[in-house]
Amino acid sequence: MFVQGRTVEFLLILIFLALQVVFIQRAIKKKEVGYIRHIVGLDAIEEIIGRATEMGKPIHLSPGVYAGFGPGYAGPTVAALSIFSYVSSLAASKKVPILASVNDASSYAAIDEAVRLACESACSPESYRPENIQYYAYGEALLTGVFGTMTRMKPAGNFLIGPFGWDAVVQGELGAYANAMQLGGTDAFSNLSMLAATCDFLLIGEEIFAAGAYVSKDPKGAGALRGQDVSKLTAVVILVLGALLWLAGSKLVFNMLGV
Amino acid sequence: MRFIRRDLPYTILVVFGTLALLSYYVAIPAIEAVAGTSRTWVVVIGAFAVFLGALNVIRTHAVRAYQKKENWWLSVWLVFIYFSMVIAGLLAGTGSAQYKWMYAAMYTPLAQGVVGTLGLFLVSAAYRAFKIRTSESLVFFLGFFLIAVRQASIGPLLWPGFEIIGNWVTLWPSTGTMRAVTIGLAIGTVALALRTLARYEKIGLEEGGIVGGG
Repeated sequence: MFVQGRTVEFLLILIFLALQVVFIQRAIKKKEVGYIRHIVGLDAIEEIIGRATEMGKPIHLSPGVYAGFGPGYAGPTVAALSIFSYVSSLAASKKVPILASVNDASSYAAIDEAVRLACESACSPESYRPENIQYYAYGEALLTGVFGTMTRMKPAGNFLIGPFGWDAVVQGELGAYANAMQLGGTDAFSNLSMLAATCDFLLIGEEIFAAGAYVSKDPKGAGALRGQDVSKLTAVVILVLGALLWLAGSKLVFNMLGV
Repeated sequence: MRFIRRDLPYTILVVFGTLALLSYYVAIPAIEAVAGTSRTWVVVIGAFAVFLGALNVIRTHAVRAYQKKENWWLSVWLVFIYFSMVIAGLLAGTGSAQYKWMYAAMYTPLAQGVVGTLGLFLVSAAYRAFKIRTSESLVFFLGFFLIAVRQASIGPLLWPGFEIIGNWVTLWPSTGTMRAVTIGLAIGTVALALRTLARYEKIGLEEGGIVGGG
């Protein structure tokens, strides 16, 4: 019934799901958020929106040149959608115009819808302007478009979250030239340094995936984060156990995982 | 209305997401067939999304040109070039010499020009990042310096130790950090996917924007 070599992997997925559900349900029952480690980059979102409100300037969203729902890119794109949705609702509640630049058609449709719904939920449907959510056919066209947006509109805040590639340094620098306060985050390790060099705030690795749960500030979100952390701990325990057993001459964990 | 705008998209997401997940682990022909068909649908839906995107470009620039906004003639030029490519593609075919010439002579040089700015931005980003103002930026600078000197051919010639230290930084601290981040990323991706499938995470499919609710 199971594909050969993937049974343990599937069981681990089920365990991770169970951990998420258990911790979320426990948090809902207790009705308290409890302690959550501060993520500086996510705390900065309100500061960036506040700055844009005071300056009367727009904010800009970009999920990067590799945004899309294909294998390898869907995760960070969904995470970007989550964050953009929150950022847009916050911006719309303060009447801050929202600009976005996307070069993948599916992501464009998803971000357009997310911004529209976020504006409606913030009782500010007029904040959503379809012409401000720009679609560019290619990566190079995206950068040209971002160049123009940064030069003409000079946004006060720039959110660079998603599967960034070689464009990370260009988009980050363009934002810095426009004096925008920037929040960057990507799962692409090699381009994280580019965002670190150019952005004021940074979401490192998995922090982009925790963002949705973190910003919700509700027991459900806190439970989800705890579930994620315990899942990570479980993975680390398996890793250490595998290494120790290997040192002792046993490849039990390696064989079980099909490594 | 609530069903169409909130529940239906999530139901589709949960059903097909679960089937796609299961098809990777479970060898049941019916599940594999449905998952395979849904992957084909993704391509079709993607094509519709391209149409939406193209519509957005035309609408935005047509309105700009009509309202004679600043630099409106650039919008006219964009729409003109856009339709020139579409007409050339439809009449002569995308494999024709005319279409290929338009692509190679108009798009490629401009695109390469944009990519060419990468070098300039790398230098200016490096200048911004490596100004030593805090202890963190000092560590950042030292890491950069050691790797850069190791990579430059003059580095090991000046002092062989640069190569040894540079290699050590790449092999141990850098690789160790990268693996730790990679493990976190993998678990984070799985957690996000599971939260989305269990409808604990809003991803812009419904009003609220603030994630975590259900």
